[in-house]
Amino acid sequence: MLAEVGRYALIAASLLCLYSMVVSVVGARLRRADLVESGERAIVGLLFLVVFASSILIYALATSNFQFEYVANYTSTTLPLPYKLTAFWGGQAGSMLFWLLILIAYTTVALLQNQSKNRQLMPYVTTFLAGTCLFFLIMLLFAADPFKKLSPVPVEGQSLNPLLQNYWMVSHPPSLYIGYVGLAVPFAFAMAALITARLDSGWIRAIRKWTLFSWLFLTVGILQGSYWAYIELGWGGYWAWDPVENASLMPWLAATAFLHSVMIQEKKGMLKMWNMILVLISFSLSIFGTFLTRSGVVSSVHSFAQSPIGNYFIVFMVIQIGVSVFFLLKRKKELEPEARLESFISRESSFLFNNVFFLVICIAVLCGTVFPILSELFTGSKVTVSAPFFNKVIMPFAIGLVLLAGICPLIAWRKASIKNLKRNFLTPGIIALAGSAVLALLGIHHWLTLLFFFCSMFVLVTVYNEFTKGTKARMAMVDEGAPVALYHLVERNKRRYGGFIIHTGIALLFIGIAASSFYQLDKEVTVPLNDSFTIGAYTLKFKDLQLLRDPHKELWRAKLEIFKGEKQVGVLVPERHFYKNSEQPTTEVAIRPFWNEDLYLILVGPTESGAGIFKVYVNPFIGLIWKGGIIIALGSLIVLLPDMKTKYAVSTVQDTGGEEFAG
Amino acid sequence: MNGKTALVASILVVVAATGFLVYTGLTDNMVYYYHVDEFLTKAASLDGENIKVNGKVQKGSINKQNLDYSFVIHGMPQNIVQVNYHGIVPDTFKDGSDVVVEGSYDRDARKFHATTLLAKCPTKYEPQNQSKPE
Repeated sequence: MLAEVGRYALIAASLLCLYSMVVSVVGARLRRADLVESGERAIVGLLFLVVFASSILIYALATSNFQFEYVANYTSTTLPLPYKLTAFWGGQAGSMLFWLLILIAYTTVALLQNQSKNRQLMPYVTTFLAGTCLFFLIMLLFAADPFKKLSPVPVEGQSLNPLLQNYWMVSHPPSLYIGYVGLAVPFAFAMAALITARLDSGWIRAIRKWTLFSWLFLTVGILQGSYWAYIELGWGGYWAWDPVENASLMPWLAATAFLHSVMIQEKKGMLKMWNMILVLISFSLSIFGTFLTRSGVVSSVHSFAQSPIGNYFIVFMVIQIGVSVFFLLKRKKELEPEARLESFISRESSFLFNNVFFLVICIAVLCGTVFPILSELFTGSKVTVSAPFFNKVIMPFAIGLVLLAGICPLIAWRKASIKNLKRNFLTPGIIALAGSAVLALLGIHHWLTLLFFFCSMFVLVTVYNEFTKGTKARMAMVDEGAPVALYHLVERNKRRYGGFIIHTGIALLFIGIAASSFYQLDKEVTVPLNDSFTIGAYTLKFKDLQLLRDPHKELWRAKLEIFKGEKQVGVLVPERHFYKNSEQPTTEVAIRPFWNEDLYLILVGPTESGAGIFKVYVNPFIGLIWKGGIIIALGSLIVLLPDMKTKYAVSTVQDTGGEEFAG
Repeated sequence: MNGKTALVASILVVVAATGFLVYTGLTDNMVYYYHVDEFLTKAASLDGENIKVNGKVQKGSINKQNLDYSFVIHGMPQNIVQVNYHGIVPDTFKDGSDVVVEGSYDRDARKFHATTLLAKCPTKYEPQNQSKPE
């Protein structure tokens, strides 16, 4: 009964979608505000229906209603309630419904925000968002039905994979989805701007924060995924260039490029066509990412079932790209730049390079990800590439991007003079060089690490300079104490200083990546009880091994004491669990973070003689990856904060002649 | 040389560099991927080459001695390959798992020496975050 109601809600929702699309377009063509409003009201109805359908599925999950095939496939009566609920996005049909739910919520918010703004754009924004909703509804009705019924009704469900039963399953997938789906809104605005030929910066202003919001969630989602992999999966690393990981990285790269180049359009009226293309690509990649993740077309360690939804995605992507390209070509003339590039050494060109690098990395990731599919399609034999390919191709551009993160915000517009270059870059360059020299003397001879460190250091010093210069200037001008001046500096120019904070996070993240990739130590050992072994600066003494049982599982627990020299600095307790109903062991890694590195220990198992088999890693500075991530998130939040109208007449204090991050 | 020419020239350099890196990256790092059935028809010509083979772990075939594993993967029931592996196996590696092994085939010993081992869970089709491919 419930299942039928859910299905009817989805059918009604599809009709409403169609209605909304038609009246919005007709209303816009005939300039009938009443029709346009009716189309917008239909979206509210749509929101209601989709929330209703989702509630039915969530209710069925919570009450273990195994009439629903979906509920039986992903939960069981013994599964704790939070994981029953997270199964909403754990399986295919549910995750599609979740996508739709977020999309319709975004659509509603976008309409509410623009009730008295951008009125010419809104009918088409509604049409494109409703069109995207319709696509997901069709898929839910014909290919991935969350309300499919089982008969006979099983007594027990198949439960959720034990690997997914942890906190990260609660927060990682939604973060990614919120990010992916958010890119639909900029796309709809871009299309509306193209169709109505209102290509001034109105649409750009309307979507800038949407894009940043999506970007923030994608960033956080990706980093959560890597952290999950690191602490739960037990192979010592955090990123494997798996197709599903790449699927989330590609829209992130395109959106990052857009967030940068949009500043050039706002400031200079250049790159209009390019920005359009980036918005369209970002959304295409977010659909493509969902497709890769969910269709099973590439073999991934995330191995999802081969499924029919792939074809639906392909049709949708073809339509979406076709329509986008058609309107882009139609408006080619209107997208001509208002200014020309004057000099190679200028902020404009540094931004161009930033964009080219981001796009090049994106294309390289795409190549590596789809290469197995294409090679099979064209040559009949499947050829795969793995981590070394990605690392090799991306490395030079990644280094270039970190360096640009230091240069772009400070180099002068139009044409940088020698004086400008000297003033902004001489000290950071010298300090970074000196820092690298010190590292080299300390024994870091890996040149790539040194290069990464140099670039990151350069960024950090430029950011530090900007903050101190700005704060000092304010202190001198308005007679404020340093903390107050700093606060006002950031508060008055959130975009610029929030951007600097994001760059700080990026620089730290890259130090973490470089140090942990090039200086990781690892060792496999078999040790008898009370014996010890060493890795790096640490000696680990194997003190205890126990077999524990509870109703759900058996577990082996080892205890090792960590010594640094003579001094004991901690204890590691790695475990290995065997769940009874899944016949599958799970590894509980033990990690002891020190200020500079993580000691990471996996219990592989006991030998028959009672010795322990361990795999141990030392990961230098790996923690900086996620600490950098937190700083990036903070910086983004600062930029996202709404602007307060302030009464002060004091103009913002700037040193480099820039008003915002881009200028 | 004015700004625009310099820019176009350097972007061309970037594009060319990318093309070069992608091309050499692909040719240096590409690994052929076969299903067991297909692999066996070509095994003679693949001696010693680095490849990936996908198959199912034969029930009861897993032998382990500490970190040394030997097991059999199969496609069609009669198509079997003996595999050796040293290292940590993913949590999902067990009888009946769908696995991908990367390594080389020793034609004389009729054994596949795997350097990496990936396993997918046989009963569920949900995210199988396991051992990394490298």
